[in-house]
Amino acid sequence: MKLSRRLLLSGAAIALSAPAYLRMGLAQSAPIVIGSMTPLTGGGGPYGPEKSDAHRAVVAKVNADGGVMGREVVLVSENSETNPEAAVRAARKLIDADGVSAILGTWASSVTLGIMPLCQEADVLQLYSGSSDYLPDADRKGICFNLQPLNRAWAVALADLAVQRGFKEVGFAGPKNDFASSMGESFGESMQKLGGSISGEPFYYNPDQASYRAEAEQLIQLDAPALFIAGYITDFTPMFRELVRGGYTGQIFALSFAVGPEFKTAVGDAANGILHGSPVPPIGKDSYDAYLELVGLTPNGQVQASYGCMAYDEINLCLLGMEAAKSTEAAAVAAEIRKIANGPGDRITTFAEGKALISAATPMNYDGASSSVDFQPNGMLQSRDFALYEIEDGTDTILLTTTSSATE
Amino acid sequence: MESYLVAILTTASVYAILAMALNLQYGLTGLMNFGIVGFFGIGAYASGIVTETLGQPMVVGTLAAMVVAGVAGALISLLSLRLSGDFLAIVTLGFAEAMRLAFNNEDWLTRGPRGFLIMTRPVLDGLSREATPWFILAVFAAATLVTYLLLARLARGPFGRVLRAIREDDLVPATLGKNVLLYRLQVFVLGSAVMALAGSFYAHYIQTITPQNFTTPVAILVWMSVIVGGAGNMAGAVVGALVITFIYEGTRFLAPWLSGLDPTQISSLRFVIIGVLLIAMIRFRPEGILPERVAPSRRDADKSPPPQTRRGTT
Amino acid sequence: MQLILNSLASAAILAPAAIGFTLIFMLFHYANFAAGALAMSGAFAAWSANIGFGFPIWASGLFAMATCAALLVLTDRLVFGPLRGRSGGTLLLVAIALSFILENIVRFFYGSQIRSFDLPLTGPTVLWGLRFTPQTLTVIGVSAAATLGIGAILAFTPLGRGLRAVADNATLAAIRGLPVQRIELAAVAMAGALFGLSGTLVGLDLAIEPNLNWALAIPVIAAAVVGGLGSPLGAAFGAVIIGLAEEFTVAFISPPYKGAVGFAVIALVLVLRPQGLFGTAVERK
Repeated sequence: MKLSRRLLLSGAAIALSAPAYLRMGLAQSAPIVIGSMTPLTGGGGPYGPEKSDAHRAVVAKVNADGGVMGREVVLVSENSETNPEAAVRAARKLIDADGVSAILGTWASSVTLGIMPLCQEADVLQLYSGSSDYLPDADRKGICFNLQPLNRAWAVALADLAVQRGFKEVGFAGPKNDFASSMGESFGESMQKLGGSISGEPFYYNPDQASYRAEAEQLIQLDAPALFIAGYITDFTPMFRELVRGGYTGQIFALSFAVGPEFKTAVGDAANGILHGSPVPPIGKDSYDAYLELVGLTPNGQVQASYGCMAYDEINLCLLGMEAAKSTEAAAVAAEIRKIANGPGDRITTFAEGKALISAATPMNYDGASSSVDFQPNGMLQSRDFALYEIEDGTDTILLTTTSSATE
Repeated sequence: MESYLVAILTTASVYAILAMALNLQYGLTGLMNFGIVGFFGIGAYASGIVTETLGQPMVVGTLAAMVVAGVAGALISLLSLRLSGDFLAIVTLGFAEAMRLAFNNEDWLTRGPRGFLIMTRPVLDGLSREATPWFILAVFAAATLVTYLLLARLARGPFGRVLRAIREDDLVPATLGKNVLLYRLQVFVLGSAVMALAGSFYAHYIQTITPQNFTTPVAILVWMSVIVGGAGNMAGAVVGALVITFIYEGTRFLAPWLSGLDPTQISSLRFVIIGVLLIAMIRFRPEGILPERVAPSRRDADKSPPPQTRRGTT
Repeated sequence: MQLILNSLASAAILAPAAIGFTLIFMLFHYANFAAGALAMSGAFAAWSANIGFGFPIWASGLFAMATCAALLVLTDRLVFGPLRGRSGGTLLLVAIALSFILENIVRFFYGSQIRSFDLPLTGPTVLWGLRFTPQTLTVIGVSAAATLGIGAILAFTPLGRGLRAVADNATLAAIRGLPVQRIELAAVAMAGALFGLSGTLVGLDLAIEPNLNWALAIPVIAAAVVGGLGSPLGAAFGAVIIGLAEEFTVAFISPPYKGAVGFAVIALVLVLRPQGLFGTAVERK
């Protein structure tokens, strides 16, 4: 019984891969295959689906409007499991079995870095959101683009915003993961440069715990006037609860993706007064609202789907690059993506607008839903504009903005 | 497609080596070692640190990895001398978790969650881009074969017989004058060293290691390989690893037939299928695909002991 | 002091599950690793009742307990029952596989986004220098009540006596005329209800999501082992010990290693006093 099951599975695999061979022959009318690798389980689980939804929504619309270069776009979804081990195998399948030209949507830097050697070797484009300082150097071919500011930029921006808001002494706490693990030092340095200081030492804790009471107690003991907690929604929520229940009355700083709609629902009115930072835009920006409506969300005055809007920009740029380059070859597409993202040219915010300008051979500048999306030569974002919001009655009110002075 | 298969076979060979080590410990000796990823991770990081931070060639890295893991295995063995069955499982699981936390937090050594980049690869200079994956597969396959030959030899010989006796009831070999604790120690050390070998190869293959590569789900896949392949049978461990890898990868291809579901649901369904398969296997064919071949001179291999029998191991 | 109160609060959440785990172990002699997954399912069940049907939190808790009782009975019938008599190690592996399956079934229907109960978040009352919220008191109270309740059932009721007899020697109990099947069913249902209770309590503190099963499984097992696998009350006490050890680690040793503490304590106890603090030497397969 087991032998025949194995045969069935291998047979299915071979049958499904046959079209891949065919595709190589019929280049013109064959579909364009793009991989969407997002964290659907694991630590990034709360954030994967919004990225995946954004990819699928855009692809559906683009196909309905005639596709890219007149060809259908086929999106293949895989689960990175927020784990580089699993992600590498998923990437293998996407690259070799499905024949993808690009892999979009990776969220954890460890995953992005984990699959980068394979993608580089196979000349597969990568557009992702990540924060690790290793990311720029790992891309030797210039075919990777990061839609999220790097680690240090976040730390510097939050420090700046805190000081501008009048908080000179801020305690730092963060989960020991690839986003926050080095943020404590950067945050401390930035605070000092601005004439402030960090309370005590950076406090790192383990995410995925059964209780955060002990950690919260430690933070309360710090007796700092403000605390910056650099966690994701899954650990920020219980941590915040414990701080409130433990009686902490100081100011809490967070990152916007940790205090989205689900967080506000979870803690209700207690969320009021939290200050959080996020790259500019999105609230109120037309491209951000357009993205929300495309995926069936309503603009409600909150920073929501922080990663979904990045994914929206990922897929838009990828498809526009291919349309402009008239090919799926990574280097050519990457060159076009740079031109389209940076401009100068007419402002566009959707694939349809861009496609029209491409046909008219007019230069353009893509202005994204997650940021203005201008890239440095190494594929990282140029702009480091951040906004500080305050939670008021379930909405996020923008208070001030800053341009993070962190290099790269 | 063939590069995909080459990559899958390469990964499967890593799991095959891990499964054989676990087979030595559980299949033959009845030790429930859930600390697999701890030793696997030690091997990976030790090898990486030796080749990258200390600049040694890969062979030195692999040997260092095996030594470090062997020492760790000895320590764990000494700690858990009297433990067996599910308690040993829990303590070894604890060891693996503690190691993962150490990898994560001691980032002065391991670069922590940001990942440890490894440039040294098990390839010869000057090989073309197309040939490299095949070469790596060949190296891994050779390692698997060598491991198999050595361990199978061990299993067939007097050492293996003592191990099996210990598995069934450690009172008997003790009365026959065998130092049971010494055998357990040896099995732990040898098994850990083999796991570290797999770890070292794995690290130099995937080139970026993070603590998240060494989590409990990996251990579960190795366990599944042993159980499905046939505990007690070295070839079974290898077959099990291949089958588990193919099922894990094969279920990815179900996606086109499940287009009504969203990606999260498809992914969840895949894991449910894998879990159900394991339970079904344990229920309906507990001896695995390749059952242990017991020499006729031993007593009947009755795998389901009556409830009253006091067993510390299997 | 505050440390002790905090430990009690953390322990209170896990204690019911630890007791349930011990009950299963006493009767069937295997470690039901799926305790974490069952508690997580309980959290989701309570959430569905609370947000989906609009029940108040105490009713949602009861709903969760009933759901988990049914769930555990079902898995016992389908999965563990047919494998009765296999080694403890095999059953542990099966329990782990079950944990995976439950986690993904929940994820299939609910997705990976976090959920929370509809409860206000308020600051603490300060009394005698100690900070606590009404919620803390309720959690500790409910947990203590459950613990004492189970203890009373075991000590004073025919069911409890029957349970202890079956745990000791099932065949002998059957010969003596005890309705072994029904006793086992009742015990499984009780254990399930306890898992559901823990799940509800967990949902008060943590973000409810499918990954919870891993975070809960180890502390629950640690508490049960420390308390001694033959003694349900011991399990509750074990939970307190683990809670204290964890608070201590974070406060004085090294916060990121808090997760390893549970294991370190297990290892220590198993090496030094294998029957736990309260148990008698338990026969294991």
